[in-house]
Amino acid sequence: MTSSALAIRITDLTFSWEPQGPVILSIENLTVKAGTQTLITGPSGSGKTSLLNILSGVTVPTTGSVEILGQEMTALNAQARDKFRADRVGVIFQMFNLLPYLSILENVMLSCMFSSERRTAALDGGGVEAQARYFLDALQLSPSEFGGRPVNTLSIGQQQRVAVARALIGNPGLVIADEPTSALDARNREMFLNLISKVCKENNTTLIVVSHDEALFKHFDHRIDMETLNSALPMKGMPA
Amino acid sequence: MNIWHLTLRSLWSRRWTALLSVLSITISVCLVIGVDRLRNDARSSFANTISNTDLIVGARTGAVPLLLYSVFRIGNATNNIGWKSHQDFAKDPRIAWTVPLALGDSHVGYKVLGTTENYFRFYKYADGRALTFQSGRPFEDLFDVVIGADVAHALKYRIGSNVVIEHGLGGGINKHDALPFTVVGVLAPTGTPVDRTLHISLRALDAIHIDFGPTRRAQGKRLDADALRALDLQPRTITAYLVGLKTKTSIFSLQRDINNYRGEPLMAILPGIAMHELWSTVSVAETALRAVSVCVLISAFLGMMTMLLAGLNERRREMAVLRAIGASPRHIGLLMVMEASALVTLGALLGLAAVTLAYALLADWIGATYGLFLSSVLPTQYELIQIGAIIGAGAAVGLVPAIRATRQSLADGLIGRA
Repeated sequence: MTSSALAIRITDLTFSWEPQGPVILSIENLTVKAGTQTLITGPSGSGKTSLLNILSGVTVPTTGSVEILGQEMTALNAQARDKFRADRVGVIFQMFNLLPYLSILENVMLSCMFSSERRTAALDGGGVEAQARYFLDALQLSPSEFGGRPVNTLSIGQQQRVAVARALIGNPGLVIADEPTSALDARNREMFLNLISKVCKENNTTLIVVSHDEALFKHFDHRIDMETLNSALPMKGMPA
Repeated sequence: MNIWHLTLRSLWSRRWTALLSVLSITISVCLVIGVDRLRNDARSSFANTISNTDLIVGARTGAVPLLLYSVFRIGNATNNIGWKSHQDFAKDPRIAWTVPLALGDSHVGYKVLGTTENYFRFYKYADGRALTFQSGRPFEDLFDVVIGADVAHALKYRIGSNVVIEHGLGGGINKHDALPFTVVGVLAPTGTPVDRTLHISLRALDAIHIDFGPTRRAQGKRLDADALRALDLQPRTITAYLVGLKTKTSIFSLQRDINNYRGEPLMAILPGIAMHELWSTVSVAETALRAVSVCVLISAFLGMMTMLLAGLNERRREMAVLRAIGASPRHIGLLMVMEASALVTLGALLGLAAVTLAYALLADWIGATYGLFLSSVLPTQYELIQIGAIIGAGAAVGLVPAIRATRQSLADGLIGRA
């Protein structure tokens, strides 16, 4: 993928939960360049969640087009979109990203379970476990110290970093994070954002982070304000 | 790591609730397989016990009780029959042979059977097999005893061992201990009550009872063995006798003659018909037992379904994480079916193992206590098919939580709602 390629291209998108229901999301045009780091901000109810669900392929827009890493999502059925997500998209939640019954290392390797593509990519990088160790190390979680530990022995900040390692293993191309720092204190937040943007840059991975906190902007290349982007919102500054 | 591995790890993290589900399935599988096994073994054990005997004659009672006490040594005769009436019929031209049977005494819990040499020639079991000697010979002397294979094995008796017969069913109070018997023969195993029987001659049975009774004991007037040998002993009563016919066609006329015998109330039964009657009595209980065990199995399945359904809500995060890494809602459903399958498989195999183990451990005791000879210790093909069907049904039960989980993960989307 060249640096000028687009990670996301949205054209004339509208989205509503029910076919005849109110339009929640309406985006005329949005492009995100591959390898860049974008912060999406906006108050609750501004359509962030719907946008993330569309970007991760869980839902499709009611009308319009969404192209992710060159793939037109509306052309795929639900199962193919799940497969696409397994292969090409890493997802990080606000919290509870990990399966408590697996070790840290196993949680990271989990991404390769549903995706042979990512497994192959990890194997090219020296093997699935080697890759998992590499990313844990890059996120300042020494694999020899943390790899075999149960999830619940980690702090929330550490857990979020494990989630980043899982999102990045197997070189997915796009990482989407939903309020990944909202459960972290200021120090941990800085550390987390420094690490995630550094590691994504090193791996040429496009990063989309959604947050209500505009102060995070200094870590990102671009910022998108939902209130500007989403023309379905009735009025700026007045959440629906 | 694959999805199976993940299923098992997830189950392991909930192992205590999972264990309860597994246990209830184990118990119900034990019941289903156990009941079936006992039923089949009871049938084959009973069916193999007597063969080539045309009629069994005893005191007037039900056909089933007569069959049970004469052949299976289960229960006791309500009445004996006279030796004289036996002699009357033994001479009948239609009859090829008779085997008189006199029961009532015991030795360390094993029944003692008074009979004649005919027993070793004409008693047949399992499709016409005759009794064979593992060692020794039939009884000849008054104080000779021939023992079944289990008796020899359990009591470690060999040719030459001394045996003291107890009066009645034992308990040690009334022993004919002045007159010990000598083992002269050990029969080969048959898998019938014969294995658990001690055989002595009818005369011997009579001899030990001559001196018996508190009065004679108190008076100290007891005959020694040689004096008894010198007596011309004639049995007065026996419990029953087996009849073999010269031609099968005379069976009903002889049966009628015996039933109408004027000397005393007698009854002649056809073993096959009595056996059939026994099964029709037992089959009601069998059906009930089977129904109960199937109900228990169903309730175990319902319990498992409850566990899986109840867990769905608290496992929303787990499902969301799996969705995030690319699992489709169908995968989530599959996970549920696999959990159910894993639980049922484990439960069913444990159940089968428990029944097998119980069989191996209890076979001797059941044989000794109930005269029921348990055959197969290893699972049969039919049982394996049943186990397979139970596992299949369990997996199908898993479809209910699977559909729920699929719907739930579809409705939850991925982000911000779970």
